[in-house]
Amino acid sequence: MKFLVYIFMFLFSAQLMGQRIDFENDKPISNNLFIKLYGNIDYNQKIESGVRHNGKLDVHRIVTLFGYQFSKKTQFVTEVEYEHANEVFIEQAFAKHQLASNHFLKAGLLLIPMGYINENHEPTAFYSVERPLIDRLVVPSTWREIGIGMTGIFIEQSLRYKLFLVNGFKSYDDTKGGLLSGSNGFRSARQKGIQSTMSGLPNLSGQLEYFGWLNTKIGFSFYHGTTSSDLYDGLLTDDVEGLAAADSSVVTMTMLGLHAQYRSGNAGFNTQFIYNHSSNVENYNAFTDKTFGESIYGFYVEPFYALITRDGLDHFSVFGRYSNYDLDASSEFNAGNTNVYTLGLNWKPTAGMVFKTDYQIFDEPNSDYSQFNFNVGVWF
Amino acid sequence: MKGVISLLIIFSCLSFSYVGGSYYDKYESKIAKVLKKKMKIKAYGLEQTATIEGPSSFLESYLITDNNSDTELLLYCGTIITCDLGGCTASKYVKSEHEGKEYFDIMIITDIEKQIKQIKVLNYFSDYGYEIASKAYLKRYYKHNICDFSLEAQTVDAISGATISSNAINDALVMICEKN
Repeated sequence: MKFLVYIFMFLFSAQLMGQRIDFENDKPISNNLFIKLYGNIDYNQKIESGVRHNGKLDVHRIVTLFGYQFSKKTQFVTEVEYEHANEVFIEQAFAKHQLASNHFLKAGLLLIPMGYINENHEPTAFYSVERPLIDRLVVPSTWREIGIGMTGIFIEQSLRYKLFLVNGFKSYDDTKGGLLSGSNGFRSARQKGIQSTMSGLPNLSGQLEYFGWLNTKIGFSFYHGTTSSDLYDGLLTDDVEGLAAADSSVVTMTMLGLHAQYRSGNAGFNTQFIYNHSSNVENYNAFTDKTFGESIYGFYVEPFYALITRDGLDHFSVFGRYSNYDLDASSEFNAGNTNVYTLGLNWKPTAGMVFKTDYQIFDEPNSDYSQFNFNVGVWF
Repeated sequence: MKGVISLLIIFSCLSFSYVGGSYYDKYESKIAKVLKKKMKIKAYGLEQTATIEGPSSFLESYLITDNNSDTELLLYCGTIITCDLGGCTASKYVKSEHEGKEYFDIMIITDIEKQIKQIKVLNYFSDYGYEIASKAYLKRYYKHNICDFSLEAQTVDAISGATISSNAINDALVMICEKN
């Protein structure tokens, strides 16, 4: 593996020596470090009949992006995320290099291309205060893992593709036990580039998006692979019992997603459907005493209307969203089918800033409640 | 393992495919294909007439003469700067510095009166705004004269989700009209 890395680094460094940004002949490169930021500060107030709830105010996230353009073909981008004012993560950290016109190699800590929001999650990129629930509970946004792959565009066909090999979720930890659950799906199993482990083959992640119709995008995403487990580490190959335990601590998942966006004039809609099926779930739940769902799905439909538009900016918009999800659509540990109705407003006084408010009604199997949300978001 | 090393070597050789040279040289085969299929010009003479540089674009202009007829066309090809590295923040106009910006390479073919006949994105680097590369969007530029475009008004509406890149094409056309 080290030998491979050295070969890779030699070939790319030799390539970089021959590159320059050729706006003018022999003009030296300068000013190619960039810093950007996005963030949102939220207020959430749960409202439930007969119960008092405290409101929550939170500097939910401040994310600083650092980018460096080595040459016209090569860049490095990283995002450092501060969540809830006291947690620090790396959200992305990847090198991108152009191999041919419209085709790029990407390697590092990559956003998984599943659906739309996971890769386009800045506060000005979606309407609601909180990210759609589908993109928290079904797609565990912000879902990012370490990997390598290709991305690019087939311009003639108006197709954009991404294909990556990444380390998968970690479903079993030596100290914490099983990390998949019926209440939040894969969320706790994200490795996020933090000393990630990979028990076997890398997982495969990809997306194909068609943008050939005006103001329309249709995307298909897929993800397949087996989760990782600490129980495989140091396991003797003739340890039958140990192998059986390790095999019971992982699942093999296949996640599929469809997303579509359409706009005509000031009106439009966004929609997304995500479905995941995992195998070996019965053994996993028995071994870990968890209630992880064999089938997980979620979808939403979100119409919107820009009431005031000027200079290409939607200054004032109204939106609605119907979401439905089930974190266990198939087994006896039924986490339940949940409906969420959202209605809200967005005000963008200027490009890069948004004030959002929305009201949500949650119809869960065992409870009904609503929530008022407000936030200010920026992206510059 | 051998297969992986072979793939690495192939990928790296592909990345050596262009170092320096003009934009025409870089995209000659694609440009020739458009001239042949869309403009019915199979053999042509080429003369570079100028380089046009503005705050957000760098374009080479050429005169194309059909070897088999009296047809003359103008070709503009080069780079247009788009979103800042890492993504777009929906500011209407791209900032003025060249370095460190993401970009796309474009070709525009007009007749001698600068009526747009073909416009095509040749290479799109950024992860954002790629929607402008769709034929459905670029067709809206056809039959407009390059000098129909202005900084004050949108002759062709920006595409949803790709406002900056759409505006960048508009601004490049304004620059061509002013400087060429």
